[in-house]
Formats: sequence, C-alpha cells, structure tokens
Amino acid sequence: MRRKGEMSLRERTAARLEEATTPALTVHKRRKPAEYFYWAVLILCAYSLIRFVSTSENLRLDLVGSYLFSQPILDGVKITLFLTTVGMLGGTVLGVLLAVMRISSSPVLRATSAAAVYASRSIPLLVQLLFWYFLASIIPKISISIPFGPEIWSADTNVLIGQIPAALIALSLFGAGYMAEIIRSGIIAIDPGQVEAAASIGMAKGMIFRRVIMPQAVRIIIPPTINQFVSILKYSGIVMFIGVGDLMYQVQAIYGQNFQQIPLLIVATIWYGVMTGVLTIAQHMMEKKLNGEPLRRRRGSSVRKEEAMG
Amino acid sequence: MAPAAVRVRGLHKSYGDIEVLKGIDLDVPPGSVVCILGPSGSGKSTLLRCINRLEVPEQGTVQVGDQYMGFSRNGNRLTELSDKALARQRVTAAMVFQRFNLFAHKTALENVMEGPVNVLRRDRKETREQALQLLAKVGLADRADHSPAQLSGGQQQRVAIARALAMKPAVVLFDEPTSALDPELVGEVLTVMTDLATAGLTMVVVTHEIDFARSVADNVVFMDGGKILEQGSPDQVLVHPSHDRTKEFLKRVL
Ligand SMILES: Nc1ncnc2c1ncn2[C@@H]1O[C@H](COP(=O)(O)OP(=O)(O)O)[C@@H](O)[C@H]1O
Ligand SMILES: [Mg+2]
Repeated sequence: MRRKGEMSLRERTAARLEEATTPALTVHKRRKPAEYFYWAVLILCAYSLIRFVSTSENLRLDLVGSYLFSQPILDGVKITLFLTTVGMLGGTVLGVLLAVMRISSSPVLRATSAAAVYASRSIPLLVQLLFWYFLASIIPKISISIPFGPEIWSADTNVLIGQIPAALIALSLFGAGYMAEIIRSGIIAIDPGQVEAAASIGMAKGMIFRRVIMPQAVRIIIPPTINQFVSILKYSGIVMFIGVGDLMYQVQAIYGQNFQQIPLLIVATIWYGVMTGVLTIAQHMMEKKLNGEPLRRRRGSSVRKEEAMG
Repeated sequence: MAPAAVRVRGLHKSYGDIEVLKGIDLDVPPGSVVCILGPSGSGKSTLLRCINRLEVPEQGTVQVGDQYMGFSRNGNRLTELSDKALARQRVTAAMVFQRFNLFAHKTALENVMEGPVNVLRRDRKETREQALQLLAKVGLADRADHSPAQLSGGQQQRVAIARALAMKPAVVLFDEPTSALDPELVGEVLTVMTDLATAGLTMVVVTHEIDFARSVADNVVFMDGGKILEQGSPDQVLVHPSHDRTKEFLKRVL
C-alpha cells in the first residue's frame, strides 16, 4: 500500500470526492438468532431442575448438608487425599525412572521400560489392587537374604502389605505407565539442538537431563500430569473393594444403612469436585508462573521470531 | 614443529550403509583459521561433529592439542573414555551451531555462564564478570538479561559464540554460523568472527561466505562426497582451483 504522501494530485482529488459523496454509514452487529434459542433451552432446563430439587420429597437435600461435614465423610476425604497424593507421587517417581530408561542408550533398559509401561497400562487397576491385597495367598512370607546365604530380614506378607499399602502399590504401579508416557512426550518435545549445545560445552548426560531437558520439559508435562492427578483422585475410589475407608467407602457404608443413596452420592460428588477444583487452580498457578519465564514467549522457531522482529 | 591444534587422521563415518566421510586427513595449526567449503551433503557437518565427537567415527583418530578425542592414551594404547570423561574432553573443542541452540530457558548471560559454573565448577561471581566481558566483546553488554526469544538471530548467534568462548576451548568449530540468518544480520556475526581470528583464536569454520573465507582463512578446504578434494591457501583454492568440482561449486555460490 502506498502512503498518503505518495498519492498523486489526481488520486487525492478522487479520494476526496469519494469521501464527499459517500453517505454517512452506521454499523450494526450481526444478529445471532441461535443464541436466543440456546438461552431459552438453558433457562427451561434450569427451571425444571430447580423445581424438581425444591419440590421433590424423595431427594433429601437436607441430608446432603448434614452429612457433608460429618466425621466419617471427613475421615474418608482424608484417606482419599492421602491415597491420591502418595499414589501419584509413587507413580511420578516410577514414571520418571521409566521415561529415563526409555530414552537411555542401553537397549536392555529401553526394552525393560517399554515392557513395564505396557504392563502398567494394560493391567486393570482393580486387578492390580486385588493382586497386591491377596499376594499373601501365594507368597506368605517376604524375606531378604544374601543369595545362597543366610536370611537378613523377613516379614509376613499379610502384615507387610495390608489394605493401605496394597492400595498405594496398585495406584503407583497403575499411574507409572501413564506418567512415563507423559514425561517421555515432554522430553522428546525438546529440540535436540538443546542437547547438542549442552554436550558441546562439556555437560554429561545426567547434567543435561537435569539442567537443560527437564526445566524445559516441565512446562509441557504439567497440564497432562494434573489431568492424571485428577484421574487418580477418582480412580482411588476403587479401593473400597478391599475395605479401605476412603470417601466412596464411607458414603456406601452410610447409604447401606439409611438407603439415601442419591444424597450421599451428591456429598461424594461435592468433595471430589472441591478436590478437583483445588488441583485445577494449582495447575493454573503453576502454568502462570512458568509462563512468566523466557520459553513461553518464544513462539515457533527462533529464526521465525527474528523475522517477526524485523 | 609445533603440534597441530587439531589433527585428523583417516576419519571414516557411515550412517547405516551410507559412507559419509571416506577417509579425512586434516591439520589445523594453532592460531589459524580453516574454512571448509563444499556442496550440501558433502559431510562438512559430520566432520565437525566427529572432531568434538558428537558423532563417533568408525575409523580414524582426532587429536585436539595432545588429547585423542574419545580416548585416553597410555603408551601406544588408546582406551575409550567413559561418557563423563568424554563430556569433559569436549570442552576443548567448543561448537557454534547453524541454529544457535541457545538454552531457551536461560538469559543471554546465564547461557554464557552455564558451562563455566556447572561443568568447570568456577566461582559464580568471577564467572559472571568474565561472561559480561565476553558479552561486551560480541557487542551485547546491554542484552545480558534478555532471553533468546527476545534476541534477533544475529544477536543469538553472538551469544552462542560468547558461550563457546567461555569454555576457553583450544579450537572453536563453527557449523554454517550465518546460514540461518537474514542477509542483513550476517555481517554482525562475521565481524565478531573476524575479530576473534585476528586475536589468534583457532577456528574451523564451515561456511558458504566466500568473501569471509578469502579474507580471514589461513587455509581453505574443499569437500565433496565425503572426501577433501583440495586444500591450500585461499588464493590457491578460491582463485585458482585445480579441481573441476571446485570450479563448478565456486561458480554456483559466487
Ligand atoms: N544422523 C544422520 N543419520 C543419517 N544420515 C545422516 C545423518 N546426518 C547426516 N546424514 C547424511 O550424511 C550426509 C552428510 O551430511 P552433512 O555432514 O550434514 O553434510 P553437510 O554439512 O556437508 O551438508 C548427508 O547425505 C546426510 O543426509
Ligand atoms: Mg551441514
């Protein structure tokens, strides 16, 4: 486009003439009739729901209020939080290990990792849970001994792997495969040039991983990790099958006696919702903090960036 | 005779069935600048990457100073180094990449300090002073706290040069340092490199900048198909080439 100063006299005259002869225009936003329809449907649904909730005699919302902060429910929330946090931690530690093995130069470690990830992802959580819980039936005693030598330490499997340890082992192993894949995808997203540059200034593999790969990979890893955290939070409810007193277990124990299933399921839903909300907020805060640092501002390749700057 | 800063003997490198380097011999005297020219795919990058052993050659040796890259010498025995010892040895042959490869999560200053502080375990405060001096040397004193994304390509490449120099290497390997730059940014990088050459830095430069090679190089090497076709003074190779392939190549790039 030419600038105004470059217009010829004739062009300028023509432009002025057009300005003078163009009628004053007003701008109107496009109508969106569908939007009104959506509103109508939404209001109708909300109205029906509110009317049902407020008039139904079977739905005892008052029970929701009275059970929400009752002791058994709070105890259940505590156990659920504990199982989720520790299980997630275990899964993450194992996941990092598997991811590092997967990118190592040793074919043995790579194959072992791939097999472990496959097992972790393919064995259903419930199967894992019951397996570890009933381990004592096939291995009654666990012992550590010097090969072909004397025993150093031993314990009853039943005592060692009770309900909670079985639940933690199952959740950790179940999460490990997913976490390994999440971490691996974060690692392979890093430009190989970063690794070469690090190697060229004398960094060994471990240092490259800690100082160059991981600090950049976390940004990619965080959102799916929180997602996984939320999944494990809800999956943890399965531990009621081996009698661990988590939130779902307590809810069932109560409605098993008073038959108020729906109000108690609402209680559980509220608590799961609160915990998921906390994790979501934590995710946003972490992303915001990391976005403040250099990498995020980089869009596309550094060369493209440079073109954009002029 | 002074030992060569870099001495390459009988280097062979293949990727699968394809032999990319077919027996390379090269000497780089201390304080000299060697420019490597050649068509794309002739093995120039592979040669540089074999010198600092980012790639492991199947055959041949590379000496940087008195060290055999990748090996420790005991009499006439060369024993392969551990990954860690090899990493440490790479410091002697620093590299400047076509795509800069600055650490994206670090500022310019942190990029320059990263090696000395974490690899050489130098004092952080002293290193900071030296890093700032190096940034000043490449004309970027006022960009120390910028992240790579906030720097132009030319500026990023100059930071990358400072990062390489911070390791006090015996030789700096440049792999097409200006090929990813917009034409108007090429000059600022070549100026820095010319200054370094004048100051006596030993440099091996893969480049298509014939003018730079003519005015700065002590030796010019022409590679084609994994071999060195000819080498000599800039005048010999660039002005009076003896090989048809060299003549053809020069006609195309000039
Ligand atoms: N990692 C690799 N795997 C397989 N082939 C490669 C690899 N790196 C380079 N090559 C091949 O080796 C040849 C020489 O490459 P290179 O040294 O990059 O050439 P130049 O730098 O002279 O353009 C090319 O044919 C290229 O395709
Ligand atoms: Mg190349």
